[in-house]
Amino acid sequence: MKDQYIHEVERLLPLPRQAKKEVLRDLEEAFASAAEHGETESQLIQRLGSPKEFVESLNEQLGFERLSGEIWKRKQIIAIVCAAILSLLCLGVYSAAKAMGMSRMIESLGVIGGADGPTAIFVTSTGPDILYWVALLGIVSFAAGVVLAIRYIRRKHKDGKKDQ
Amino acid sequence: MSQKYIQQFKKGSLEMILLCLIARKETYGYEIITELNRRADVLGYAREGTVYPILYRLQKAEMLQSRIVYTTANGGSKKYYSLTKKGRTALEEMISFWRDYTICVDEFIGELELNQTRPDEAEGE
Repeated sequence: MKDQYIHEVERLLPLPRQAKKEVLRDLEEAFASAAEHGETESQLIQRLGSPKEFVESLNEQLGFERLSGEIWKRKQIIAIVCAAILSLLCLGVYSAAKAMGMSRMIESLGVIGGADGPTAIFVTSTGPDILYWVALLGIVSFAAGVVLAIRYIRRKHKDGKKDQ
Repeated sequence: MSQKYIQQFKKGSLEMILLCLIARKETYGYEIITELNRRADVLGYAREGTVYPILYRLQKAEMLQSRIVYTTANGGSKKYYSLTKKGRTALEEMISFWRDYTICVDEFIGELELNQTRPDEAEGE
């Protein structure tokens, strides 16, 4: 019952990891202390309220909504930066390979029919294929980054209005 | 009395009550709740969900400090809270304000009661 309770609180708490850990530790202590003082788990849970009620009560006192908003913003920024880096990396690799590989590709194309075919064929058949996927990944992550950025700006705009 | 007013009163004073409790002696969560619930007739039933966040807030404001003590009695650890120097000063200020405040409120109540017990004289003046 206790583990289930704490687990449920962990799931519902919109707090940064460190602060969450503290609340969960304190809950562990509450259960242990209750047992020490001859209180049953169900008696304690009756006082705590359901996990949802417990979390809401913390929420009221600490003003989580704002806090969870902060966490959302931070995660969002990280996601946008990651998407930007990924797309830059992919498109960079793609264009570098394209510029560098053009001449080599033409060279290797000529080798397909050659005697030592296997390695040459390997290069020519997978080369463009990988490049194609790299380019696609670059475009997709770029698009994702743009969508995330628009969402972020919109939300921030809305929050700004709410605060006024 | 309406629950709303009771909550308003408590909201303003629970921090001070907690500081008083902890100033008396170093104490931990369960003991604080038990101690508060000895006065449940007036204060209402104290819950962890109300008390913990106030403790977090007071600690963040550097009025409280805590240390974790590992105990065999409850098979885990206890977080003992005590007042910092800043907390002690803040509590002294709160208490001194509370004294003035209650005197002030009591004066208003006293004037009202005086009026109510002698309505004729009050009107006659």
